Amino acid sequence: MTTRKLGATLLLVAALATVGFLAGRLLLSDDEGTEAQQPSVIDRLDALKTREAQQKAEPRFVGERLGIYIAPSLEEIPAEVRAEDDQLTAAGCAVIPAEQASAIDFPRPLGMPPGYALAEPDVEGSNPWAHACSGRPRLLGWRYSTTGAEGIPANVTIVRSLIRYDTQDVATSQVSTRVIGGREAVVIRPASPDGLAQRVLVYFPEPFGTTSIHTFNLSEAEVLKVAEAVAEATR
Amino acid sequence: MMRWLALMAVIAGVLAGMALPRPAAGNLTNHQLAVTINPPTLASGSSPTLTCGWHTACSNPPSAGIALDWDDENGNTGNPWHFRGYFYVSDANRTAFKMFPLVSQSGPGICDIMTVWITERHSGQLMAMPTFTHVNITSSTAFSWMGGPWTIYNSRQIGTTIDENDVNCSTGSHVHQSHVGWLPDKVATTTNTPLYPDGPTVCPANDPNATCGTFQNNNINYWIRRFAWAEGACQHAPGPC
Repeated sequence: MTTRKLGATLLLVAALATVGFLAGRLLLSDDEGTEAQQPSVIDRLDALKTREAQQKAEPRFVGERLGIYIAPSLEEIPAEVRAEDDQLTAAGCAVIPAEQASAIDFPRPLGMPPGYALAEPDVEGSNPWAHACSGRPRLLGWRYSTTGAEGIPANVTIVRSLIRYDTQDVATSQVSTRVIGGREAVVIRPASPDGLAQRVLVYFPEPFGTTSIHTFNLSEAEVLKVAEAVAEATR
Repeated sequence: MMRWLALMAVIAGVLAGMALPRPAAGNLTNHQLAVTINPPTLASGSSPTLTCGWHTACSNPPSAGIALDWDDENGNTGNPWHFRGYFYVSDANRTAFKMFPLVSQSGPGICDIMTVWITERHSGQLMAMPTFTHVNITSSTAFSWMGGPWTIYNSRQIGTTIDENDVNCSTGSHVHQSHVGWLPDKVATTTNTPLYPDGPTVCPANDPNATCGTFQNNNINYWIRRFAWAEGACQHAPGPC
């Protein structure tokens, strides 16, 4: 091979390698371009705030579903609905060990879906936590943590209590009843199904009061899985 | 022979193009951002009382944790609470932050928890989640704030304190300030531990409401928690967003 021929060959190899290098870069940038098209968290939160503002203009839900009364404030809940709980709490309440609230505990063990862990105790001081009023267990609660929308932490608080009402300022269109895990439940839906930065609430009526599920930053579909587990444990 | 050589050259080029490290994709700006959270109660310039040092539950004695309790000097509830602090941007004064007040949990039987998500406008990503308990939100509108090289103080009323005595998670009107123990990669948080006392250590164990001192709420030295990050840092590891 002459020197000229060798030089031409090397040039050709270098040119092909360069084309290959650029093609490799292009392949990766195509992937990144796909990711970049997804709206950012700020964009999604801005859209959420717009939807929430629209919902604020809708009529607020004030009323009863499955024996559970929901209204934006305590003042809007009829006195007769609050009477029993007001009487119970009038003399004051006290924190009790969760074991002492067995009267309102789950009749069957709660089997949460995979990925949920009992959270570190928060402001309540323990997890699960309970309190009693007039010597009667009024509330027993558990808080779970998991990963929610956008890989951001999500909270799930499950409460079994004697309380048959809740104060939630929600649009009428957000409140519905449906059968979950074979049980009738009241559901307060989020403004968007992904649940990002939003709450979803589920209430099961109980002979003693309610079992309620309060979630934050969890998709509606994921909340329904939790609700099915709760329904199973309360049937 | 030439065909094989050409094919090998192209394959080697593609592999090298995909494998070799790339520049920061233009996402990282090489500027630093930081937010410090200051005491949330009373009007700016006032000195609220710290009623419980670092704790989880201000029980008797308090359990160790990452929250502080701030009194609002008023026995009744319904007093304003604020999201406030100092905002740092390393290169110039500019609007680099956007905040979203959100209800995390509320109801008559449970402790009411609000959060203000701190996002970075450049990347659009969430960077920190401070939380405020025993309060409501009266203005949930998102808002943007400036930061600067010498830091800029910002304060905004978000809501009011609420009565949670029947829930057994609160006594009296105050704000329990904490944060979600999660941070995006590359975001560092620091608590001002040496300044604020550990609850069991300083507050008398037999009196969870004991005074632990007063701290001027717009004093840059009295920050509670500091979040700092490189602008453009991705929420998800590794590499640029």
